[in-house]
Amino acid sequence: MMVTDIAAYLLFLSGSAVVCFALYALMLKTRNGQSGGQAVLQSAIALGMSVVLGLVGAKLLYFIFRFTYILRLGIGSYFFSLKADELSYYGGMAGVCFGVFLSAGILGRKPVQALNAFAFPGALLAAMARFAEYWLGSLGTGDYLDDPLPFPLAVSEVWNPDFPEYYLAIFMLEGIVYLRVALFAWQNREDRLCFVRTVFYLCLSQIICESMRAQSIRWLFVRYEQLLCYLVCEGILIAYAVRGKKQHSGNWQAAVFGLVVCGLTVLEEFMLDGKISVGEYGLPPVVIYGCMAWGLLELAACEHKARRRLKL
Amino acid sequence: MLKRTLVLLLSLLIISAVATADGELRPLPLDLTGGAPYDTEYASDLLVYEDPSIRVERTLRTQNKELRLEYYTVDIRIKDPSQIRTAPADPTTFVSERRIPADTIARRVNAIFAMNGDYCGDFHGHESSKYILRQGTLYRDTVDTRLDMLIIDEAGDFHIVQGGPELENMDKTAVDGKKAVNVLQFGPALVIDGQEVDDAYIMDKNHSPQFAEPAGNATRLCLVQFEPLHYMAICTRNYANMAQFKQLVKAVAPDCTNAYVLDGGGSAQFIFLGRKINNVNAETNQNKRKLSDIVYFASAWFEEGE
Repeated sequence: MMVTDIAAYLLFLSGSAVVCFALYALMLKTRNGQSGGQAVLQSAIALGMSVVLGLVGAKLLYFIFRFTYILRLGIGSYFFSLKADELSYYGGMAGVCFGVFLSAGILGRKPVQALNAFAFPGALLAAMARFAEYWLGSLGTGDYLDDPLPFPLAVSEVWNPDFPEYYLAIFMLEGIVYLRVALFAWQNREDRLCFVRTVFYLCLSQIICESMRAQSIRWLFVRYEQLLCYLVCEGILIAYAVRGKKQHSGNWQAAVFGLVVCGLTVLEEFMLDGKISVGEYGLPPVVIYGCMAWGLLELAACEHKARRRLKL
Repeated sequence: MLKRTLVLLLSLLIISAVATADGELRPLPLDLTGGAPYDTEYASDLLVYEDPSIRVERTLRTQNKELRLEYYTVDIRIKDPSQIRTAPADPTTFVSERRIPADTIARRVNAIFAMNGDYCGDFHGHESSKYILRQGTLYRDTVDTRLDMLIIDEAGDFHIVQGGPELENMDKTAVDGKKAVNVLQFGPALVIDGQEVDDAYIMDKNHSPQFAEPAGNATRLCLVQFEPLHYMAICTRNYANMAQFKQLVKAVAPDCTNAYVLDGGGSAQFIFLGRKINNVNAETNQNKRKLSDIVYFASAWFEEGE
């Protein structure tokens, strides 16, 4: 059943943030070797800054994506409203990470080490923020379903008792995928590129999940957050390649394959939009999404190989 | 004796009145809820739906040999102005990226007949400026001054204002002292107050939305009003430019007072009793375009106990 309950949403998100930042303090202590008091202090400052910067980031990125529209509506009314569908999820996550980065800098700690310690709790928080969309009505849902499916695969809505509607619960899928990324971050917590790799896998999974969301910040078939996630992934692969060059070892394969996956994703988005069809009737969306997932998994394998080539 | 007969007649009258009073015509609320539920099942040969509050008669594919155009029409007569309504894909707002098939929205709101709205739920380019007042609520207070505006007032009457700078400052919430219930921006208008609009105007791309090239050939559809509470929807089956479409509208509905073009092209959908009835074939049925909003007509006849 679709539920819109902002109080429950904020309560769940606040609770999750407290738990995740407590885990962050624990990571600072165990991974970075900080004392308990220092870890708690740094975590508390990071939490405070993340709340503020997360909100600012979510508003700011949405504004950047939609500034022509917002200028028409009136800039003041946008910045002083707190509608859930007028926030950018990835802007919010970037703000949270920036809060962690700044708090480490303020306390004279190495920000990169702090971010690596934050990779696991951060991915967990990302997952919790997706699960929290359960209380945001139809925001995190996907396509309309002709046949009913149970929760957590779908959520139902009964605007008309004679005609119950079912929508894919994409926010649940995103949350579960992010949990898997959090597990990856935990397993690779000693990796010096732990944070970067966690961001890579969060963004990689979002490329397909964003495509499945019915409500997305977009222009025609271009979904801005999907594009942003792709750019982040490609940027990381290019950084691997540049670092590889400095170490005199070719490491361009993953970055090049990233471009191939980008081309394929554009093609698949055109097919989902009905602009390109294979055969008379076009491919069913499930097949197109299957191809998209396959391409992204191959890219994940490429990233793994590229990381192993780096001497870090 | 006379007194007895009168009492008997009166009793019979009361009994017959009670026996036939198995429902009532109730104006529909001015919100996003739908119309009265109906029991009639769609059938491909069912051309008329009728209850005490609404009569909808559709034609199968018809040909105008002179214009070489095939088309569909749906004639609608309602008893109460609240029966001409609009509904969004997202059931709570018209300003949303959500798109769902027209037949799904239509079934949600118990539409007897539904058709495309003005595709208002867009955030980009000119589409993002459309003024959105629906079911009496203002959802977006911007205006695309290039596009003609269709205002449907509380009496269900059409008022069309052509595109121009005056759209910016005019009162769009009331016309001639009547409250505006639904305001749409797509167009152009083909007929205004019984007068045909010049071809030069309707073929000017500045008076059509971004993706509805008036000189191009596309599936076109429009909503027409003849008289109070009597409307017709017309949709071409094959491609026509805007001037050709106007000729068709004048041929099919020569007595109309207003005719206003709504979102057509590959998205054009006529939904009758929950089923798409225009351009029906395996390909179009599989790949039904998703819409952001619909205009629909609903029954206001509630059976006893509903």
